[in-house]
Amino acid sequence: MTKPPKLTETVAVDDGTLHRISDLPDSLLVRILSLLPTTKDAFRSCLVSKRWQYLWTSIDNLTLVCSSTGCIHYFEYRLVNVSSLVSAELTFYIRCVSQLPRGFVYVEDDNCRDYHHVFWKLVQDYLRKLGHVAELTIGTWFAEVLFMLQLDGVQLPELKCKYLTLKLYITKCNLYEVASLLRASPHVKTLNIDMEVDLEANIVHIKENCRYESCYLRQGDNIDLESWISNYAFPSLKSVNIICSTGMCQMEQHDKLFELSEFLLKNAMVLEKFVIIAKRTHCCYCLKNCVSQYSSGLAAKLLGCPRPSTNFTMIFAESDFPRAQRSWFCFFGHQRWCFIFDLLIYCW
Amino acid sequence: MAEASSSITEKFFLTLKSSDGDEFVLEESIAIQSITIKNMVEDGCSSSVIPLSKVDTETLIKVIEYMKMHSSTSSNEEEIENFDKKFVSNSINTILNILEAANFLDINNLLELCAEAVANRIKNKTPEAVRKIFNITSDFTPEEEAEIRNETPWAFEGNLDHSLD
Repeated sequence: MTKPPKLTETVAVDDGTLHRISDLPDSLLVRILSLLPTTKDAFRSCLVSKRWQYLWTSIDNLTLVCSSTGCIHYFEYRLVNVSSLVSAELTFYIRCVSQLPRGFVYVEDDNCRDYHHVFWKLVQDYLRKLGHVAELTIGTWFAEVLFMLQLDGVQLPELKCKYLTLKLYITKCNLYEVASLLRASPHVKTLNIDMEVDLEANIVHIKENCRYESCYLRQGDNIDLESWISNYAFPSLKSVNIICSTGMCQMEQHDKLFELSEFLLKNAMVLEKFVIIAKRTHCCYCLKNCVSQYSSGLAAKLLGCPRPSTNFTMIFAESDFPRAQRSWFCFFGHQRWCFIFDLLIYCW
Repeated sequence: MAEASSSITEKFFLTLKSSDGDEFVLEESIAIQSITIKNMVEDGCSSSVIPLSKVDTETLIKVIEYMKMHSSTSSNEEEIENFDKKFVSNSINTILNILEAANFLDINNLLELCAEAVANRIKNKTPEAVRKIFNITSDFTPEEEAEIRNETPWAFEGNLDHSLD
């Protein structure tokens, strides 16, 4: 291949021999693009050259994340052919048009219904197309929309997902949705609930629900989990991991995370491991050790809950980020606690 | 193989020959991190020199360094971590050469390490910077490029990095 040696000094002085990236097979390039932090980064490579234009469509993970305000443009990603995807992360959120920063058209609350419905349709479309994905990660906004859709009587399609991660705080607005998602995913083996998310963004987001959304979400107040999903057993669920992080003191009066955990314990037939990890010792809200307090309390309460699974371990771990400071507590079966880090075993 | 080196019995050695004709003698237990080489050993094709026509001397030296570090029983986790960190600070061209070699030799860890290094090098870069880093000439006409940019302005907004490092 002839290429004009029109290269800048930076690369030329780098090495005697320039590597021709055009020699690399597409599969390797796709592998590199798959490792970029978000799908947006991968997409941007379409402008590199004609060979690269469609490479990004073969990446094996879809990561639509969003940390700043109203990322409406993310929905420009229409999913067309996503059969090669193995994992997908949907943790972005769309603000209501009435809440968008100045500069956007202001719309009365009452008129935002159509706006929401456009996105609800897209969410349905996403879920249908991502039905084959093995690893799925879902954030607050996505879960809320699913809840609202269900209140409207929409059925979730069956998901083939085996590894489900929820990056959200369990609140009354998404508790039922999490339960429904699990019901729609009978193949799930591992469920991770990661509350080490950007709490600020989440709380701001919840406060900023417009009247139309709030009206829907308020219905969560009066629902009972057992009646929302009655007579359902999770056939494949083997391990549940809950990561508690700063902000556990912000949990609502009625503890929805406990409610969900209790429900999982009761209905997961082959559950082997239930892990609760408390991250960070000091909460940035109450400045106390609410994370650890809450998590150990949760673990203790759950030990008393009924469960059908016989071969079952509950683990409670406290982790401050440096590895050496980690202390592990382990509860086996019923009453026995061990401190395994130092190989000391205390029997109660 | 692996068992052999742990006991007092003899160690097996393989000779690898780079595309530049240089030969390297390496313990079999280290070399078989490469699935390609492992298959050759299992098929009995390793008695003489193994020619690696796609790997030049400079790259092969790096690959051997990596395999030695990752197989040695004396190197601990931290040492390996530091080694990997230093390893990926090689120039992008070296990394690409190693990536290609790792693909050919089928050394999955090394492949993953290099792919990640390349991804880190191009994340948050403008397409122009990516072209320069990889020595690619765009074959888009200015009109075609403008069209893509106009259709998807959200992808190119924000603080993108123009630098080449």
